[in-house]
Amino acid sequence: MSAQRPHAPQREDATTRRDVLARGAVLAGAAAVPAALLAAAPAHAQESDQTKALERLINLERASRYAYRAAAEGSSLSGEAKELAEELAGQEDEHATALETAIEQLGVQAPEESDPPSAESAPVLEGFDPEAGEAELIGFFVSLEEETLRAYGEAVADLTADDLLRSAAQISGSHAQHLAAWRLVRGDAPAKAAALPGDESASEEQ
Amino acid sequence: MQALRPDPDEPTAAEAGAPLASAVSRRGLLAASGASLSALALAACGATREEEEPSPAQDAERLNELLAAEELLNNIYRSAPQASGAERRMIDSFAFAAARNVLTLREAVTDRGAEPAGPEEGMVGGTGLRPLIIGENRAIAAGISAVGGLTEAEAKQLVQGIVAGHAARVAVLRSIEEGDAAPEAWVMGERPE
Repeated sequence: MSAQRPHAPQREDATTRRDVLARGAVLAGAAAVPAALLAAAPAHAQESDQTKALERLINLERASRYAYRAAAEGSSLSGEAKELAEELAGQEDEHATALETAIEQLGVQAPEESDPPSAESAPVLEGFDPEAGEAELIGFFVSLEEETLRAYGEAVADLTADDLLRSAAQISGSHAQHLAAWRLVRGDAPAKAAALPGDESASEEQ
Repeated sequence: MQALRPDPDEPTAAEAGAPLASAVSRRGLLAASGASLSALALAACGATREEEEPSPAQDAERLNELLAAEELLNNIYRSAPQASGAERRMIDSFAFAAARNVLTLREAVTDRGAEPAGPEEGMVGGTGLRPLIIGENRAIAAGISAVGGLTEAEAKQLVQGIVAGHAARVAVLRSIEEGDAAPEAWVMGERPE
């Protein structure tokens, strides 16, 4: 981890863009449509296996963003680990924002968001404690990135739009790098740091 | 996502090597220029690829694009720099992964009734771990290009997994050469110059 790491994107920019989208949809809908129809609106749009896969990924990216932010703002991480959590919070925000935009382009509203994420939308956060010790937090983030990679591996089977397939591959690659980065911070040997979940051959040397 | 293209000749975000995030601003531009929401919505409908039938022949062509880059990377690892200790074991492990990708892709192409491609042409320069980073990045770019247009779920998962593996190896190699393992939110690799 060098000092050359670029700053994470300004949180305000992404949040504002998302807030504007969300508020716009809610306000426009609330003014004209009965509540029962609002609830049915997403199903009335173009729900598909593809948009359901996107919903799962959006929830996962939001959960990761929350976890990294909470850990970066807490007192348990320091030095390289704190710097990495700060940076990855920004990257998760970019992923979440792009996927939210994508699902809206497909005519489906992004899933509702709460802060902190609900247990239903973010089961991956079960057991997460931002004030846990540094080693425990790093172990949590390794597991989080492994779970995220598995989720992208499943989701890609349901994606059909060419640009979405490419973007999912780019984001999945980013999570593979997050996983490697956390393992390196943990002190794993290089070969093991690069091994993906289920890739036993690369982790033999320790 | 072609809904974001005001000009049909303009490359999509992905074709241009830019992520979806960049496309957001294009939508903003469209909105600012007065394009109606209904027009955008209709364009989005047209941009979503219909549930098309799996096409093994089309997928074989795409997989061969990636195979050519994997063959080149495999050759690069064969002439990898001398090293010892953990670095030697890392290079051996990464070389094994490259060779495995070649075998897997050859089999996937053959299973779809096509002839496996040979290595991509071109030289990779540099010293130390740099050629490995360049080769891994080329394979990432080839994989991302190939995955768009695949029709079979199995092929999509195979290519995305291969791209993720390259990305993880680039992170580790880069952490040794340059210090920063995960500096970008969008992993795009590098095309040959």
